[in-house]
Amino acid sequence: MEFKQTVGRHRSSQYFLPWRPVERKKVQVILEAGRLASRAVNTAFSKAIVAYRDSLTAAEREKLKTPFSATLIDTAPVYIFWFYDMDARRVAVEERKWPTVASGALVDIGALGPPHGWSHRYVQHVVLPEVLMPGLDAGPQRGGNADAALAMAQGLLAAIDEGLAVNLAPFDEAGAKEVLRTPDTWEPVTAMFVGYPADSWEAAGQEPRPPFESMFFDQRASQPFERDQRVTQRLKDSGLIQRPAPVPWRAKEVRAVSRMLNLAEDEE
Amino acid sequence: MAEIDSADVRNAESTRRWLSSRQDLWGASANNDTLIETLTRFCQFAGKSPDEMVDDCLRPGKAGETLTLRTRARRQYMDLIELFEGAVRSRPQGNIARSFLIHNGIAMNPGILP
Repeated sequence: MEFKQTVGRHRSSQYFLPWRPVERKKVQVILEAGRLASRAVNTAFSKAIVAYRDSLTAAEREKLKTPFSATLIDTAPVYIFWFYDMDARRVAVEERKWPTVASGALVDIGALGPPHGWSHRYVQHVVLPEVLMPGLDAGPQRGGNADAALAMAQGLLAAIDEGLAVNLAPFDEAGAKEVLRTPDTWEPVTAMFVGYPADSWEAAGQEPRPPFESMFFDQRASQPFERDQRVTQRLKDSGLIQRPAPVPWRAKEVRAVSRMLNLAEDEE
Repeated sequence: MAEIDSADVRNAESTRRWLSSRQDLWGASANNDTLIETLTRFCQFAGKSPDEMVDDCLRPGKAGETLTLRTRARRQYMDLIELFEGAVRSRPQGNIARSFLIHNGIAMNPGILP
């Protein structure tokens, strides 16, 4: 799928075909995309656990549910639980096992080097003690991590590119700890529910957003970044900007899909 | 302070560290003599030996081998290299001085915009 169309086709899918499994190879594609996401000091802050609805007991699924994710847990065949590994920085610094800034490997492979002022001595004697090690004594700190979320976002786009439907929703942390046996140092990011859509791929239409100029600014926060309508039109043509929700048939589609999936219907 | 000559510069610990690290990263240099000659000129311009320049920028830390980068001294050397570059009218010679400090653990980020 063309990249702009992949971005444009994102929907927070609410209806999955419960009986259609997701191929393992597609799950791997999602994880591979997440693994390659940009990350500070090349450290593996992002961790994920793949779980399958039909491999969990009903009791285990109940433990994972929140009000936001209850129906998704019942219908999506695959859940990918994304976490921020709060211990990743310590591991990178102390073990220096993987090609991180701390291990010096990024200088070796030419990713960072003298043109930007980096050398092995700078990494080992300055960056490590002054930048990466301070604060480690305090132990793992909660509070989220942009890089962990970025890995998940890249996986989300890969899922769409594979023709899958996805939805991000919170999960019960204590339940996940019990069911998935996650370490204490893993802080939940969110769960990615994955499956094939039960409704049309267009679903309700592209999800509404606030006006562009209310979100993005030019040089200073008081000055909106004004859209060039020619660019906007090109993005419509290429599928990044699509028909906004709601599409005219959405109510009928929701009723039909709800009936098919035996979901709650609030009208006849 | 006595005039710094190229023999002093060549024998300095920080010079040996520089050449070794540079060679590890880029492979053997065909002409270390040019590097030493330029660094000697920069040392004379700064009025400091190679080791003194590194010591100016990196303070020994409290624990073991750690070093603390002295940001003000680093800034001063960045400015000094720019002056040197102007005096010799050669960006490559300025970059040799930067390379010396970089491989000794002092990040140098020269301005690249006019």
